[in-house]
Amino acid sequence: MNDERSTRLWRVIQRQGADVNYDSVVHAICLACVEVVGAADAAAVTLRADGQVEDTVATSADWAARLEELQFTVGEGPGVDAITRGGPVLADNLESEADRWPAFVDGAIRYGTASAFAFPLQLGAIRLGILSLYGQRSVSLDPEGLADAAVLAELATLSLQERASAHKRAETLGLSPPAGSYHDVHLATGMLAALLEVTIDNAFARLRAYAYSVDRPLLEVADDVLHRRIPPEEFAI
Amino acid sequence: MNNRRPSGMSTNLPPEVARPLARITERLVGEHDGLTVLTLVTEACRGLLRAQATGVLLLDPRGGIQVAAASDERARLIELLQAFSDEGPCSESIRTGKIIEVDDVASTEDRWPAFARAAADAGYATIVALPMRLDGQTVGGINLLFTKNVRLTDAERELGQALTDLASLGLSQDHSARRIRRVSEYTLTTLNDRVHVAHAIGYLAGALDLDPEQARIVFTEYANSHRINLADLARALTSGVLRPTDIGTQSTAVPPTP
Repeated sequence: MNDERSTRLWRVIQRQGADVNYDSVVHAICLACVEVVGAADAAAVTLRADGQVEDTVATSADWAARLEELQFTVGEGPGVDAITRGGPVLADNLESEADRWPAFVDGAIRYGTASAFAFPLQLGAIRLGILSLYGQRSVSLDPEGLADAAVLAELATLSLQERASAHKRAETLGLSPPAGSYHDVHLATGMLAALLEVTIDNAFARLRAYAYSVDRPLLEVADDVLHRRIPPEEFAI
Repeated sequence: MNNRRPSGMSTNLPPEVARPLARITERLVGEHDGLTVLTLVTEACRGLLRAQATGVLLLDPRGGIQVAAASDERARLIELLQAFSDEGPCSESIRTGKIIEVDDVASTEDRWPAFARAAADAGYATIVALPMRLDGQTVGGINLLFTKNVRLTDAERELGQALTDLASLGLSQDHSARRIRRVSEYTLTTLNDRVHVAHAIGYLAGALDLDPEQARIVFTEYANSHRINLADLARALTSGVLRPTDIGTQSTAVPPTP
C-alpha cells in the first residue's frame, strides 16, 4: 500500500466521521469513496462470510444498499465476480454488460445506475467481503480514482479485521504492508494456521495479537515463527 | 503435452528450449492467472538465459512498484528486488520502456549508489532489466541477476524480451482493444494472489514440517505437474479442498513426511 495515499485517505475517513467504533469507520469509508472518487456517486460495504447470508454493513445511500441486495439475490454482478475472482471488477458501462449479468444490469438501470466498480476486501486467503462503488453516469475510473478506491478497500479490510479480532486500532494503522518484505508475514500466517489448526484469518489475528502483546515488530515475530523459535502454543488467545 | 512433434527439418531444436516455452504458451491459450505465467517466466529466464536469479516487478495501480514473482522467495532476494524499485536498471527500464543492461554492477556506483551496494552485497555482478510492455505502456519489468560478469548475446536478449512479452500477455488476458485498462484489474488480482500463495505455502510448510523454501518447491512442482494454476492450488489448500498430505506425498522433491 502506498503510505502517502493511505495517510491522506485516512484523514478523509476521519473527517467523514470515523470514531473509535468500527462500524463508523466502515460507514465513513463509504462516504470517503464518494468524496474522493469522481466516478462514484454511492458506495457500499457488504460482508460475505462463507456459508452465511451476505450483510451490507454500511452504505452512503439507500439505492446502493438495494443494488447490493440485488446482486446477492440474483447471484450475479460485479461484486459477485470480484469475490469469485479475488480481484477488482470494473464496469464503466453497465448497459454493455447485459450479457454478462442480465438480471443485475436490468435492475441496476432501473435504479438509474450506469457504472459499477467492485473491490474485494481481502488479504490473500482472508476474504471478508466487498466494497462497491456505483455511478449514475457511464464514466471510467481514472488511475487516481482506481488507486484511491483500491487503498480505501484495503483500509476497510484492515478495519473489519480489527473489528473481528477487537485489537487496538493504532496497530492497524501502522500496518501498511510493503508487499516485498511483508512476504514472510504471509508465510508465517499460513504456517501458524496449519500448526494451530485454525483458519488463515484467525492465524493472522493471533500473529498480530502476539506481536502487539510482546511489543515487537510483526516481521520479527514472523521470522521467529518461520524458524520455529516460538512454540505455537504461545499464540493461543 | 508435447506428443505432437513438428515434423520435418528442425532436428536440432533442444527440448530444454522448447519445453519451458510450451509450458508458458499452453497457459496463455487456456484459463490462467497472471501469477502462474509470471512464475513460469521467471523459471524460464533463469534456465534459458543462465541467470542465477530472476524477479518480476509490477507497477502497482495503487502507486509504487511491487515484487510480483521471483525465482527464489527467500527474504534476501525479495528485499533486494524491492530495493530495485527505488533506483537502478529496473526502475530505469520501467520508466523508459527500454532494456537496461548493467554488465558490471560496480561501475554504476556513481549513478545508483544504493542499487550498486545492494546488488554487490548480495553477490551479483551483472543485472539485466527487461521492460514488460503492453499497448505502448510499460506495466512492469523482469530482472535477470548474474553472479558473474555476463554479456547477453543478441539472440539471448531477444529471447529475454520474448519471454518478458509473454509475461505481459499473461497479465492482460482480455484481447480486446480495452486490454490495457484491464491490466489494473489483473495486476491487483495478481498481487493479492501472491499473498494467497504465500499463505498456502506457509500452511504447507507448517503441516508437512518443511522449511518455506522446500514447501514452495513442493507447491510449484505439484502445480506444474498437475497443470493447476498457482492461485487455484492456493485456494484449494486454504479452503480444505486439498489436504497438505495430498500434495506432500505426491511430490518427489522431498522425502516423505512423517
